Amino acid sequence: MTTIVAAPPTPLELFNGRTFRVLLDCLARPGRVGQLPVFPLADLPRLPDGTPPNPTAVAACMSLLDQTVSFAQAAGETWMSVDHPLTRWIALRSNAHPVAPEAADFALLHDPAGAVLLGALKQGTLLCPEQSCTAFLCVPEIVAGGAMLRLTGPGIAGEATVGLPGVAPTALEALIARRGRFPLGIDIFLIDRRGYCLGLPRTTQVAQACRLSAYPPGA
Amino acid sequence: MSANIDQLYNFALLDEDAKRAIRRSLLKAVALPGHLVPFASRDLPIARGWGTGGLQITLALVTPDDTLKVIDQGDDESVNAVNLRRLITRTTGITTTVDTAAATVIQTRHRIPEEPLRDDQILVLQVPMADPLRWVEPHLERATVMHGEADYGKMWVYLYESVVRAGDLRIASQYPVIVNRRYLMDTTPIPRWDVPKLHMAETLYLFGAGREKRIYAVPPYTAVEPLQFEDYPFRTEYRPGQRCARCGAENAFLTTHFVADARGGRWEATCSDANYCAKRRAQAEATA
Repeated sequence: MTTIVAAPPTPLELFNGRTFRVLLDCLARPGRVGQLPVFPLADLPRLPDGTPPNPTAVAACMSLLDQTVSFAQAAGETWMSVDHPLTRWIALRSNAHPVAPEAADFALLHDPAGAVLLGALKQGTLLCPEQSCTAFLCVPEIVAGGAMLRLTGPGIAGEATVGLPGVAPTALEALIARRGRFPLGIDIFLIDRRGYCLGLPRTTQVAQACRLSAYPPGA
Repeated sequence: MSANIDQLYNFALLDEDAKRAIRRSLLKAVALPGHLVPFASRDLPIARGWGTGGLQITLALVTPDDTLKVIDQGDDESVNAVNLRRLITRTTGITTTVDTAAATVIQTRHRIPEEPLRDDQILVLQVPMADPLRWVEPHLERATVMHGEADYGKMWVYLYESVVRAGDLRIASQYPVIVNRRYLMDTTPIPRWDVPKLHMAETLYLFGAGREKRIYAVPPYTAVEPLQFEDYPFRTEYRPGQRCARCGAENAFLTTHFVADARGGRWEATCSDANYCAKRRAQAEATA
């Protein structure tokens, strides 16, 4: 008699499963800040400027990569080449193809300034809006309930606010721009240095809260 | 006879690549409320059409920390629920429950539990027919273009004809809804009773159609509006004076069944949600 016995998940399977649940929860409830689990791999190659990449963001992106999808990376405001050590490190472990940004299924933006590159990514088509890019944007810090961005849309009861200290105004503007083209658009995960994650699906309307308070209606 | 322990299966049966593909489709489905996202439906030890879509979502979703509830038509003990639950527990080892409040993931066929669901719970629905336009446009390619252009005129004509022919909106289940004011979505064979529970809910709803190879989702706090006319509004199955013969619930979805007795038998209406009914009876006993 053969009995099926549940094999315990391997560390990587467990990591992928738990990471997915945080990503799903964050994308379904924009404004809620989730905590991603710790990456089981180490020794990530450094970025072109010599700084280490955010391991949680790399791990979160890699948890969704396999041989059927492609990815692109950017450090600062420039796209990284396909033969950069970090690109090869990710490709070797995930089997995903490094490609040009306009063809990428996933984009890993290692610096908040990379938000200006979001316009170069796949937006999907009306027939297949799901064939758009999913971007992971590294930021210094995410503050739930902070007063910089005001979020409304599906998944949010009323409105949510979030603070992104250390993100330049130009990057914030780039994050807000090119929205409101539903069903087309890019779905973004913001991930900070402590592993906190904020989901910004294309359905979320983002407004700058500070500017609104500086110029109240009727002023 | 000694038991041969077979550990050739992965945790949650599916291989990691299959789970990743389903997870990617789920994320896109959440970002596009009501839109049908294609996915590669894998072969399972259960035939297509028996809940494989919901099963694949559940298998891609569960972690060892989860508590699972599986229901079929509101009942934890019916054939489909028992078999799916057994497959999931044997391949994952996670705990299961019949208590709606104790579950973190609920897989369901054709019902949404009566007890209000919380924001830390996920409801996974098994879907037999994914595209609501199937009724008016049998060609999938043309229906996809209609979805892309939000061209739902034919559906409105279908509803109008239903009113002209039958005097009312004659849709018993699978009631079509507009999600987030954009996509027309099939609600699966949940009764009309459950359709309002999708609107601005606290819970995330995930829909899986294994045979049709489609995944779609309704995120929490999303507008879900049933198609209706001003003079022929959408109505649930509620009948004034309805009452469960077992627990006495008046505000629950009831199913009628024949009970044979010495005088020939009678029709009895009881709650379709077995756990809800049992909880209410236990509560009544405790206070009596």
